[in-house]
Amino acid sequence: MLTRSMEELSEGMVTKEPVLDATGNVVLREGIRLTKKIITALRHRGITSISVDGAERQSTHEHDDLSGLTEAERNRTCRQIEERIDRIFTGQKDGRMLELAEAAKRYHKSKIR
Amino acid sequence: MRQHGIKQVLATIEGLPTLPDTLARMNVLVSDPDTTARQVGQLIASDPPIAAKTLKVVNSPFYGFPTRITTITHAIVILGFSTVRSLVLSSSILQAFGDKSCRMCTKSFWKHCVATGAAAKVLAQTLRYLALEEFFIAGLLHDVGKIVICGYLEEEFREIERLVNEKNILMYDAEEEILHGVTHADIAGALFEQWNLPKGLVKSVTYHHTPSLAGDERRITSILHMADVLARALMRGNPGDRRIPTVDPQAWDDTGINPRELDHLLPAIDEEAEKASVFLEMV
Repeated sequence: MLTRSMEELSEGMVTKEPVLDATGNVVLREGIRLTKKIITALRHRGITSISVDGAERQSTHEHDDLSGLTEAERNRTCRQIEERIDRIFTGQKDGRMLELAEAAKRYHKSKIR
Repeated sequence: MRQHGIKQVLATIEGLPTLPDTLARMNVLVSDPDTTARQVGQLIASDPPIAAKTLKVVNSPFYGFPTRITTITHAIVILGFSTVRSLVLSSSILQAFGDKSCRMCTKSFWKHCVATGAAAKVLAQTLRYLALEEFFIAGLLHDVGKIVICGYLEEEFREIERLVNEKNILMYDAEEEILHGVTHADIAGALFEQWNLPKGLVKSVTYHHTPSLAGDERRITSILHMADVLARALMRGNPGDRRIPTVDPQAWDDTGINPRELDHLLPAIDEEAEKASVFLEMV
């Protein structure tokens, strides 16, 4: 089980503990598989982090061994990383920042491929 | 006016950590030119948790020495005063803030700080600076102000978090709004100044979001500013928001870093951050 911040969440992860809002109300039970819609809704409710299972494949840095990933899983992970980088760089117009975004994508993908 | 605001915010904080004793005594010792390695070694050894943490880092892949270093005095002889002082500084501050039980103080947050330190070190090395540890420490400690806000200004922190989530903005921008122009950078800078920490560290931490304002420390602040951004691009850890600050155009010029170099820099920083992960064991 890992506690993940909202930007580290992605579809397919499963909540390991009930998710509570600031007033202590349960907004999501444990054992729920996350979808894009759920993640957005949690964000709107001001949730900042949740405990999930299946988080170990969401960041290249937690990948000690990528050899076990299938081609489809590698492609999916690459897409998720591209999406995360696009989200982080949302609204950036500076040419050098956009070059940084592309360099980050290339680097993260090279770790997975 | 702004200075007044920072003082006001700091004044409202009760129970803020004081300068760790070992660090305070060490600052006095190293300012005396007659101080010997043995004296500094004895001082550090008199604080077993700090001594143990310092030796742990000295013997980690961060330095990669082939043989084990078992005494602080030996570490000083090999690494020098300045490096060991930096290690004591980081151990003491991580000890002071690391166990603060607040939502911000997570492994993931410190992972971002370690990555920023690694990025600052790699950038400084690329730019042929010598005191690389000082850059690393500045990166490691650059966001300590967020811990102060989260741990000591809980109500304001909740508001900041709400703004960050609602508007998808940087914590820095949310802090400015909630704390009336004061940010985590100002708070950490003011605290470090109060603790008489080195001027370069104080200034670079204070202006790591606004390097153009750092005066005579502008170039090293630009390195820290850029390091924070590169650590975010590497997505190592969680700085508390989901955006990346735009690198100040002046910082690109001050550092002379060309975007074409990023393909070499990012892997080098990632590798350095991995080596530096021993610092995560200190919190």
